[in-house]
Amino acid sequence: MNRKSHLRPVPRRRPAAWELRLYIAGQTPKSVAALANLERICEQHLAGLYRIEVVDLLKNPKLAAGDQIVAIPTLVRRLPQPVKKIIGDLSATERVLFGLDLRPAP
Amino acid sequence: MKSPRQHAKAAAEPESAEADETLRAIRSGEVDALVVTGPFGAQVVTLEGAETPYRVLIEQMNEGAATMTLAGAILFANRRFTELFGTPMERLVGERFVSLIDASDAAAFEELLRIACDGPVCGELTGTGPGCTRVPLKLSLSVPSSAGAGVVSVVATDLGETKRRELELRHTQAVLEERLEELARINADLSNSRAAALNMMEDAVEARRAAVAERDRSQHYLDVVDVMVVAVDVRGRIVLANRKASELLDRPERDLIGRDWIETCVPGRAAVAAREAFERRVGAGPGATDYYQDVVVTRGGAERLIAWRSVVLPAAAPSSGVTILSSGEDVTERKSLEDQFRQAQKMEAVGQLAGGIAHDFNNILTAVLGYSEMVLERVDDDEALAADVREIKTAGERAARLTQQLLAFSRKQRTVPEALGLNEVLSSLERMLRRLLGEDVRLELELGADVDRIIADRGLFEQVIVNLCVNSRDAMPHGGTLTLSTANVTLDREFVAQHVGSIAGPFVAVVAKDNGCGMTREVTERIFEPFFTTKEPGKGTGLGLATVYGIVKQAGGYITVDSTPAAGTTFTLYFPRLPVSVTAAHEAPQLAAICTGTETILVVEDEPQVRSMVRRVLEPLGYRIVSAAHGAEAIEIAARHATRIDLLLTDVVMADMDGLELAEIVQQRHPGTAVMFMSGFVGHAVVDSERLRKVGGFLPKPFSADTLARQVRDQLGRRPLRD
Repeated sequence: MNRKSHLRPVPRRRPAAWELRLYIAGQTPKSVAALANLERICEQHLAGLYRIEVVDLLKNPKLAAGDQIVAIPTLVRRLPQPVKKIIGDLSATERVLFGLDLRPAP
Repeated sequence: MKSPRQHAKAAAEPESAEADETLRAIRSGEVDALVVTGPFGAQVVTLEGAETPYRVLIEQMNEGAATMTLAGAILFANRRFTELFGTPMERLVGERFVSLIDASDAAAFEELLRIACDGPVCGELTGTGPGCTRVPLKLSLSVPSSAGAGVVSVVATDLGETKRRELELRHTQAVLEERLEELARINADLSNSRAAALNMMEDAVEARRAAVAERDRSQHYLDVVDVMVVAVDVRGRIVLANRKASELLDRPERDLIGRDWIETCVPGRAAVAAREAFERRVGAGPGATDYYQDVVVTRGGAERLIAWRSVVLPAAAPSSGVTILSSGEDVTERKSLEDQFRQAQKMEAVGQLAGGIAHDFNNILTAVLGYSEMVLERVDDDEALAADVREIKTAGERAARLTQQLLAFSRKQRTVPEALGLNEVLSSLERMLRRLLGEDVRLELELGADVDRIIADRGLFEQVIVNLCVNSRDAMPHGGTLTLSTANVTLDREFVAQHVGSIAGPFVAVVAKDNGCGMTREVTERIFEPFFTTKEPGKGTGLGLATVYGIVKQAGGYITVDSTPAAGTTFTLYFPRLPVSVTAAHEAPQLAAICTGTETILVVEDEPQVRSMVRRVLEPLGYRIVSAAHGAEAIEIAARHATRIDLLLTDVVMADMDGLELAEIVQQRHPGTAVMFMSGFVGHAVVDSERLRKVGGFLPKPFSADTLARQVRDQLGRRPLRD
């Protein structure tokens, strides 16, 4: 499988409550930006509570089917339920926080 | 519970929101790659920005590079290419590549292009350079396999440079060709696919949204209507089938779509006619509407009668090839009820006719039998004559039995109802039935436990069983098994709804089941009609099952018959159950020992033969007989008759008034007059024997002289004592 997990340091007292999966296409600028933005936002708002899995669709396009990905980059919030998708390079922080249910509607 | 429509809507909302979000992200440039799903699966296409390094490389390279269509139209060219041919980029795009080649080499170029479709190819040609100079060129053509759009990549090298340059170029060219193949693919993908992909996505999102809404609406309508909706294409294949159609045909939708309607859902015997009708409907042209009834067959092989309305759609109908749209209603039950109702009406009419004939016959037979007896009393010394008269009497009695059967069918037969335990009756009949059925037919009694009693005439019930047994025996000429069973059953509303004339409630069911030759549906439908017989002339009267029908009906019961040719027949008789608390009230008749008398009897009878027979029986016994032919005459006689009239012996149904009215008038004038009614009608609306019995005695026709004498004596003996 062409998935690689970026396991962030997780404090032992609590399990990772947030499971995030980022779909990218190799090293395109938006893919690179999305990963950087995601890591920044998670550290600021979910420190110690998240796990990011990065899926490179350029290496294995078939993996797009699972989450029905059509545009890249796309972030999928797998946990907590319900599953949510945020499409784009995650540069609009407020929109991302709203999309992740970390903020009320802007 | 959510409706299918709500489900579809709930499911579509997140999809729709996600599609919006995707479009927004693409437009705002937050996305630089797309997943495009094609015939070979998902493929990732990177967008502008990602290609920059390759574009730079192509623009900077020292060879001419271009892409063109398979037909040879230039799509793209790099800087070096424009220099090589001295033509600016904007003029090159759309230009025929061959126009850049010297006319002498045009054919060679076309050949090169043709070969390139099968694999990369190189060739040396002369091109037309700036100022119509001839430029020796080496052209490398290749068609990247991944470029679905059919794009040819071309690398053009100027062979006019120095040998060194040429070698150098050749060296790098090999490397470049490899890279270019990849680049060209990406290039082609990008230049052609990017815009297309965006448009495609927007279209797909819009189409999807519209389709969801349309599907919602259509599905909703299709699913709520209580008729089956089926659409077929011009070849008769099913394009659409709604929920009701699935239910009715007992096939899931996926088991219907794409199948041939006639092969799948029309019984084989009707297929040819159905195909012709289908062709005719299609031929009638758009807008033609047709109403018709047709039998369809379910997956399990059951047949249903459907009333269809079909319409031929215009050829340009948007809904993908639908030619005929049909909606159909299941009318199987309705048709069956209509048939049953017609049959019931027919039986009623035949019953009335038979009852009327039997009534007239009874009058005649009463005279025949009465006179026969009287003659017999006088011909003691002439044995030959006596024997002849006995023959007349025997024939008369046989005729009387026949009319009795007709009366049984027409439910005008006199009955002596009593509380009957059917298990006991069947057990007591068993020996006789075994003899009747013969050695080849096995009789099995399956008598249910605690079967309630019914109210019926025992003799008539026995006749029912005997008739059924005879019928079964004749249906099993080579032997078989007849099973008689009893059970308490309750007829529910569903049963009543499907069986015209039945009523709901507690019944005792008597089932006679044989494994004989069975009957066709046509025979089954007429089996209870009097004089309907399948036996050869002389073998049966055609009254056996008609009698059964009449007796069961008279007892307030219901009868069904279920028959399959070559498999057997089952008759099921339902008799109303008697509440357990009711006990039998069967009175044994008290007969007077001495039948003579001196009383005055007023005989009212419109049939002269009967009237005179009565007189000739009763006068010799000592009675005074006064007779009248109709009601008015009787009233007149009663009015002027000074002495008392002890007994009024009257017909019930007369032209001017009925016997009951007459009895009232006579009793006003002569209080204490006993009354006795005579009638061939029993159980008929105009002859309410219960009411008659409250007023006086009842003498059913035909009667013998002996019965008449005894009944008259009996009735006179019942008179209240007077001063």
